[in-house]
Amino acid sequence: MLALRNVTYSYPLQIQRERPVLDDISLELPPGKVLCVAGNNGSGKSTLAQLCAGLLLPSSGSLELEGRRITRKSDFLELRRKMGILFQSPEDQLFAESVFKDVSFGPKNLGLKGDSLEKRVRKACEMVGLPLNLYGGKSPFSLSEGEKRRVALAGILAMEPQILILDEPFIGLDFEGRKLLESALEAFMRQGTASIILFTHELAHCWKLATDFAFLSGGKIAAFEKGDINLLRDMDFSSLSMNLPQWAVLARKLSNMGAKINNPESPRDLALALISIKESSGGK
Amino acid sequence: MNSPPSRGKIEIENVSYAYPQEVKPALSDINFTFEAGAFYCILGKNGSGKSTLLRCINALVIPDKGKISICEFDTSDEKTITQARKSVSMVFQNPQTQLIAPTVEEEVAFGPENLGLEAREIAERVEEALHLTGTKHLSNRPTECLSLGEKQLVAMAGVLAMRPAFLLSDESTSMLDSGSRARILNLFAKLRESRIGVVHVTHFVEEAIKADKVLILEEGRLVKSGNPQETLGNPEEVAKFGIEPLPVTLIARELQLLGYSLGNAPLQPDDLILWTL
Repeated sequence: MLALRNVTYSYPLQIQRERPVLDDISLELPPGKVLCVAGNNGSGKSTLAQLCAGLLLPSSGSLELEGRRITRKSDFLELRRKMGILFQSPEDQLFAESVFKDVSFGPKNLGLKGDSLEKRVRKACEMVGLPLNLYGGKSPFSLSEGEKRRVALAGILAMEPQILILDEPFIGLDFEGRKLLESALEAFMRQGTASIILFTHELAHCWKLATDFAFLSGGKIAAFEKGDINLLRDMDFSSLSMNLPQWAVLARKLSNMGAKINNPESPRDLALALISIKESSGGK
Repeated sequence: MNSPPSRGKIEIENVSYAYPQEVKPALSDINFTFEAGAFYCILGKNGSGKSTLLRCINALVIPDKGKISICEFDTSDEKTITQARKSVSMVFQNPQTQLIAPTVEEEVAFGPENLGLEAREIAERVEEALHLTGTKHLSNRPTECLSLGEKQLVAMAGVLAMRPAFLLSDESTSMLDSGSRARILNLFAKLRESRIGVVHVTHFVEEAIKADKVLILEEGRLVKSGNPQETLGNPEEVAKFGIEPLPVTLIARELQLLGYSLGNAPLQPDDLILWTL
């Protein structure tokens, strides 16, 4: 498990800012969890992503991995080996002439070759829905945007990370591309011991995948379990400059009008809640 | 405003285009007319031809077949293509890569300066563009110190200072948070008053609710166009085109299946709340 304990971060020579980018952040990421960290542009999401990945060191506070405080350089190296990071627009980082070569670049540098290399690459490509027999020989540059992004993800999965950090993974993808990427990430999570931290400004795109949410604003963080009703009822999403999915907006309004909703994500349950409100107000 | 620019239409007639060495056409037999002063949204899967269509109406891509005229300037005629290009301006997805000048004011003045205009007119245009985009308070700020949303608004001010008849937006909202996106969409709506047409390509279906007309592309063909109710109201049809249906339309469909009639296709949560009253 990865944990952040009272982490504060200020950029060096941070002259113009009155307060640190991240202020006293505490977070836990147990295996099996998909934590969606949502925040505005400039809220510190990318800084937090780099801290979680051990690319930046906290100004104060600490990181823990499996209950051990990370202090030495060797601890950070261990953390980085367990992490896979998918930066924004990762398809810009594809470079090899074939999907196989691109995905195998990382594990090859770990010293894998022959059958064991091919097995890793095959597993990663299957997880992202790009089977090696169909895509292995293709140039990554001939693929669609969504496919390219999944090749980039396969390159990371081939390193067999335990924790995946994703920075705005759904930006620029169409509906189908988003669904296929979501399936790839679900396949990664089915491995059981894995976890994901997903950074986004678009809640709707990661709602299905997330098990927990954390909202980042003014350098502070507030975390919720997905099922926690406070999340929908009490959060001031407009001050966070955050769009809720339409169904969540409707569920909030209906629950304020007194409706009971079993599952706010179900169109049928929301339709039934609308009918109950209409009938109780005497409408037809 | 001095010498208001001539407003007009973008007329697309039987336009087809295939990229060099590609067999499959990127656009097939497109017919449509964009009017200045209206807000259009183009939706469609990746690869459906949205960006190619924008490049055609920016006269960057010249169709293989058919004709495009921008404010009556034919884009395939070498004598008129420059005039055609001057009538439209485009903003792109990433605001970080579109700004070049040290301060906001210099950034917005960059285009008009390159037109060789007099200092007084440049100042007037900069003032007008900053006012339109609500970025006047940023005019002396270094561009690199702006937020992502502010950068995109300044990029828009920069192209509006060229006084185009149409503003083309290629996923200009996709990297922005919802507050910044709302400011961009408000700007698009406000440009109606200045009789500037907006053609906005997006993957956010909710943005299309605010459009006057929505165009849906599929495999290079214009498969649907009309007001938001006509184009987005039927969730099964929308999904068939590879576009995420609006959750409200799925809820409305459930209400219909339960025997309730809703009249005009609801697109927003408040439409459904109104129905209960």
